[in-house]
Amino acid sequence: MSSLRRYLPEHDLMYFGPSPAVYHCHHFNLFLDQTIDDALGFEAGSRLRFLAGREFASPLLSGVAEQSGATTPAERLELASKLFSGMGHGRLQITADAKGGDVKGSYLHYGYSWSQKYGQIVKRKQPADAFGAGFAAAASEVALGLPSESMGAQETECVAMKAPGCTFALKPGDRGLRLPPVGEPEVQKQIGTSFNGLYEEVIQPITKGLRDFTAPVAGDERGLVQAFGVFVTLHLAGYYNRISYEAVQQVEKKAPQSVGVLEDLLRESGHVCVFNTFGGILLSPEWEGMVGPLTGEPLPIVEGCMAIARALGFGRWTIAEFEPGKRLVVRAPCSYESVFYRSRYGKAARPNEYFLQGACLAIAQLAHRVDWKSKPMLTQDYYNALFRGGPLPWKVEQPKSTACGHPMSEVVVTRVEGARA
Amino acid sequence: MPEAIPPEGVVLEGERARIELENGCFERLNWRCTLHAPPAEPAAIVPAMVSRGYTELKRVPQVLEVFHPDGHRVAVIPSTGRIQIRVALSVPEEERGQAALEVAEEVAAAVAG
Repeated sequence: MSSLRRYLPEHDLMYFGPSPAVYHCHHFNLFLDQTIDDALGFEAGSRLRFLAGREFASPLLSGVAEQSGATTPAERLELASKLFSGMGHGRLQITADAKGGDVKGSYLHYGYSWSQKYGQIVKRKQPADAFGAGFAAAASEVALGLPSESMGAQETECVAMKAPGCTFALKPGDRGLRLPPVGEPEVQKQIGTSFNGLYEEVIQPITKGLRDFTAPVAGDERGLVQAFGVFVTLHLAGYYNRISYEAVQQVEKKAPQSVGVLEDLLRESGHVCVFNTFGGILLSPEWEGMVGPLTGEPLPIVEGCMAIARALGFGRWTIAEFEPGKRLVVRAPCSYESVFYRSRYGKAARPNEYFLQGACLAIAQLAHRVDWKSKPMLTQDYYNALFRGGPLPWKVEQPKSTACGHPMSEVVVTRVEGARA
Repeated sequence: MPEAIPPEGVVLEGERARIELENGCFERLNWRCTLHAPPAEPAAIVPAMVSRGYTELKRVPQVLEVFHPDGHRVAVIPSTGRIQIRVALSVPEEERGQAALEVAEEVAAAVAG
C-alpha cells in the first residue's frame, strides 16, 4: 500500500497508483455526499456518486493490476478488495462474471460510519455506499476485461438502513458518458511553478513528519483506518471533484437561484474537515510527540494546519499573510480542486475552490476560538457552537484561482467588522 | 447499547491511575491516562510493559507504543509524559472504559516494578 502512495514534489499533491488522491475523514465524506443528495435529490445524487466512484476507481484498478502483474479475474478481484480495504473503505467480496454478479460488503466506510454517527438519532431510508457500488462495478469491469463505464451496481441492503451487512447487485449494460480522464498526465499539465510562504522552516518539517508517520497506515481487520478520533480514507480526488462540480453545474441549469446555497455547503465541507480531522490531529498524542504541546497561540495552529493540508495531499497551502485576530491570506500554486477543474472543464469563470475557501475560514476559527489548552472534545455540539451558532466572525473571499488561469490560488480570510475574533 | 457520552466527558478513577476519555473517541477507544506516581522518565514505561508481555511497536521516535496480544495499545510521548490507552476493537463499547482502566492499572504496576 505505502509503495503506491507518492507525493508530487513541491506541490504537495498526492497520487495513489496512477490516481490523484487525498485523505479525508468520515465526517467530511458523509457531509459531502449528503450535500450532493440534498442538491440533486437522492436518486440523481446517488447516481452521480456511483458514476464518479466507477469512473475514478477504474484507472486506479487497471493501473495497479498492470503494475502488480495481476492478470486473471480472480487475481484482479482480490487485488481490488485489498486496495479498497487498504484505503480504509471496508471490506468487499465481489463475485462476478460478464452477466453480472453480487457483492457483499462489511464495515463499508460510508454505511458503517453513517450508522456510527447518526444511526441512533436518524432513520435512513436509502443506502449510503454509492462509492462502494462504483468501486465494485469498476473492479468487475477491470477483472473481466469489460469496457469501462459498462457495469451497473445497485446497493440492495445497507448497514445504514440497519441491515446486518451491505449487499450489491452487479448488472451489465449501465453505460456512462466517457469523460476526459484526469490522471497524472493531465494534472502535470495544469501545475505551474511552486513557491513557499512564511514560516516554511516550521511547516515543512511537520509535513514530513506527518507523511512519514502516515506512510505505513492501512486498513485494520475491518478494512477501516481509525486514527485521530476519526475514520480516515485514502480517497480518489476525482470522486470529490466530479460530484462537487457536476452538482453545481446541474443546479446552475435547473435551479440557478439555489447555486449560492450549494456553494455555501461545499465551503462548509471545509469547515467539517478542518474541525474534525485537523482538530483531531492537533489534539493527538502523535502531534504532541512530533510537534509539541499546543500553546494556545493562533500562529502555531495556522502553521500546523498548513502542514496537515500538505500531508493530506491537498496542495502546497502557504501562509502569505497572517495578522492574528484580523487577517489570514493563504496562497497555493494549485490545489486538488483547481487542477481537476482546469483539466476537465477548462478555465473557470470565477474562483471556485470551495473546499479551500471553507477550510481557510475554519483554520482562522480554530486558531482563534478554540481553547486548545483545555483539550476540548471535538463533538457535534462543539462544531455547532463554533460554526453554526450565529454569524461567523470571519468572511472568506477568493480573489485568485489557478482554475481561472491565475498564477496562484489565493484565499483571504478577514475578521468581520465588530465581530468577536 | 452504551449510554451517550455526557458533555463533561468520562473520567474513571483507579487505585494507581486515572483515565479520561479523549477527543473524538465516539467508540470510547482512546483514554488519557494519568498515573498517580509517574516514572521520572516516561520512556521507561515501554520496557516495563514489554516485560509484562506487551510488544513494542516502532514507528517514530517521538511516539512510543506497545501493544498487548489482546489488541490493547499504550502510546507514550517521551517529551511530555502523555500516556494514551487505546482499547482493542474487540472489546464491546460498554466495557471499554473498564478495560482501559485495567490497562492503566497495569501500566502503574509495571512502572512501580
